[in-house]
Amino acid sequence: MESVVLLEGIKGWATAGSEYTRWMDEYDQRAWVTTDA
Amino acid sequence: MLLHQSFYSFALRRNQRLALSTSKPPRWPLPRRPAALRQGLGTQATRHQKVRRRACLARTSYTCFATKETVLVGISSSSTYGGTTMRYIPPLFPSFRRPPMSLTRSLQGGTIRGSINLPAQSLWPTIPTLYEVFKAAGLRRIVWYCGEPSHPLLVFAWCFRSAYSSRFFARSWQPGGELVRGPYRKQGRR
Repeated sequence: MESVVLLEGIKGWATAGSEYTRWMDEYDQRAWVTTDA
Repeated sequence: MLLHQSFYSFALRRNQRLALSTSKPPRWPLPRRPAALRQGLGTQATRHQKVRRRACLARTSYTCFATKETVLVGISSSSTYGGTTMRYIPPLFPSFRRPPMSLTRSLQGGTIRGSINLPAQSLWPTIPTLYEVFKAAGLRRIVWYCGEPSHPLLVFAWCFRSAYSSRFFARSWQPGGELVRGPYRKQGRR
């Protein structure tokens, strides 16, 4: 069993595009936009 | 006290005199073995030591990161990834999977589908239970992520890997030549 860490974290995943956010639950775009700013 | 010191200094002088007079090595102080022998290099390693060394090298050399592209490919379709098949695992307990949004600020904005939300405070003591759950689910690769960017998630990933990546080699063999007792040695081989 291997144990790896997701590079760039959940923030990188959420801001990567629609193909990534399609695989998210309860995705809220405003939360990620406000954390960026 | 004075007698004590004088006795040992006499013994030292006597041995030094012997060492000077004869070609034999002195009895005291004891000659150190060569560095190569002391560190276990150059000696014939047993088969068990070789296997453990190989396991340690393999464990420390493989990547401990996964890019989001790789994870996306693994999630979206059943595909071959790094020699193992990665498949989408539905969440274990959907009703208990997610606490109310008002309680956890870190969940704002969403989570990756199918991931298990674990509070970071209680993650360390639950690592053995997590391993049993993952093993029962037949998982081959665990991907960790955290909503808090500054959280030392790497530590947890490393602990999980060092303890459970290969249970047979729970006693880790360090390449420096020292056999170090692992934290899970008393549990025996599994």
